[in-house]
Amino acid sequence: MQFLGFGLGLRTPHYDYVLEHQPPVDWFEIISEDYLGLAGRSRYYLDAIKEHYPLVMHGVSMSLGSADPLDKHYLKQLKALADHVNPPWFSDHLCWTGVHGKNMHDLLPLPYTDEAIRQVSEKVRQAQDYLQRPMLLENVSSYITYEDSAMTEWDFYRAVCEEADCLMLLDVNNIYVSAFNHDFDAMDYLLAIDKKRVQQFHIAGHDNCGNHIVDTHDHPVIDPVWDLYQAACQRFGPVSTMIERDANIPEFPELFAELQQAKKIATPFWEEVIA
Amino acid sequence: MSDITNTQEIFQAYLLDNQDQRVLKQVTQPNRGTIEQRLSIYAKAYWLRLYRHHCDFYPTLRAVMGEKPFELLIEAYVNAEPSTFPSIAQTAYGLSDYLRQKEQVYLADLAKFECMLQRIIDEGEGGRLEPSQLQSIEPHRWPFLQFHLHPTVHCFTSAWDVTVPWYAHNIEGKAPQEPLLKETHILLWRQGIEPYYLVISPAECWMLQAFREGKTFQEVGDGLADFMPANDIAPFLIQHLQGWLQMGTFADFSLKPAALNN
Ligand SMILES: [Fe+2]
Repeated sequence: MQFLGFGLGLRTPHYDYVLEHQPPVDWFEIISEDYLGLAGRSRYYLDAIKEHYPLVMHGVSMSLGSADPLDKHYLKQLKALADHVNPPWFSDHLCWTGVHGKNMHDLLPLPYTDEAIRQVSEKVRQAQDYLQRPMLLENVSSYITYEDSAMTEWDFYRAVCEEADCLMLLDVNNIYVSAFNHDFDAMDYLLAIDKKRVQQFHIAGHDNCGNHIVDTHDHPVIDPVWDLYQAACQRFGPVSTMIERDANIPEFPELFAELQQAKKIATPFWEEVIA
Repeated sequence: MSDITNTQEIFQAYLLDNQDQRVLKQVTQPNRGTIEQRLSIYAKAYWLRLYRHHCDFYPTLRAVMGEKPFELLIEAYVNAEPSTFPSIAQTAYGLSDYLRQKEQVYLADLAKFECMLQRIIDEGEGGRLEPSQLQSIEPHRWPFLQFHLHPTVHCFTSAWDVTVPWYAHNIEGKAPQEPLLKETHILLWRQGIEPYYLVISPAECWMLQAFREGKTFQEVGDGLADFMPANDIAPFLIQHLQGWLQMGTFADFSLKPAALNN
């Protein structure tokens, strides 16, 4: 599938800057839930920015790991948005966000069990069939481990993606955060992931609280995460990369400069495609 | 019940009510810190995400109520009505109804006004009726015309003038006061990508609601007799129709079916 290059998450405070300056970002990732109504100001900017950049859709509410079935109304809205945006792929997380119809608006961790593998992979298949586009599944940061978990996070992630036959959105920062919180070696994670399945990288900043790290997306990317990103670039080859910033959002040029850092790190490994 | 359903019910119960500690038994002891610390990351994130969203969504209500009462209100509201929506934006929409149930009537109206102004930014699409589209209408058909409001156009009547604190806080940058008890009719709409409002007269408000209900031009004219002398009705109707057409108030028009054979 397509290598899009180096992108950023499209955020409301940057709408006017992006339209006015048309910065040389290769692509943008939108948060699907922000555009589901396909109306008004959000649609105006979506349509205007779509004229100049490839867009991919990233969701936060599919709740693939929930014991509930997929929300049909949500899927219908998501499909209408996908038909409008025409992204090369869409993505959501390996998590649940609520049960019994409720939404906690957070990426909640799953127990790593065979039951969860069956449940999530079945829903990924349903979502891919319904939207008629490739779906990418993203690993989340986590803070707890369930007593019920019977395997490592990477074995679980790999098994779900194989069973669902879907691609991966590998969040390098989330690997770093979870490795710190659960005392595993992030390289073990990277080395266990099937090269063929990785379609996109996320990188982001976080908040180190001493005993644990919280995945806040409100800081610049730190050096150990850049190091892990470098290892990922080396292992997986050219993978579309983007920086996520969701809080404490700086001026656009600051994020753009951070993206150049990603490019600089990846270039020696991907020379043939970046050139 | 499957293991996963059970796990999620218990985890969610903890997020909704931190006193529910059954989740502690499902989680392993981390190498650093405690289970409680790790779980509280989720509990804090749940509350803060919702609270911050409501702060952004209801800046005037927050300023009128004050920081602590507003926080307590949002806590009670979020506890009473956990989100069932895909987008966090939607979680704020029910606050006015919640305040009304609690008989906090002027706060309910202020919340409704602020919510409507926010929602029209990203809701309602479609073309607008252009004045030129009406030029070919034959005069004898005019009484049977029905004007359909654009989906971004709303009217709302409050027993308090809730626009005063909104204006003070958002435009003048002053500390907003509680609104005065004064029946106020408000027209809200979106032009381009910006939301607007206007305080309108009872007759104007009635007229827009009548159009929304599908009343014909003739029926609207007849109804205005409750608001003004007969001689004033025609100029009032024409002046307002022209003004509203310019503002893009209407999406479309139709002829009442019975009139099609005329
Ligand atoms: Fe991510």
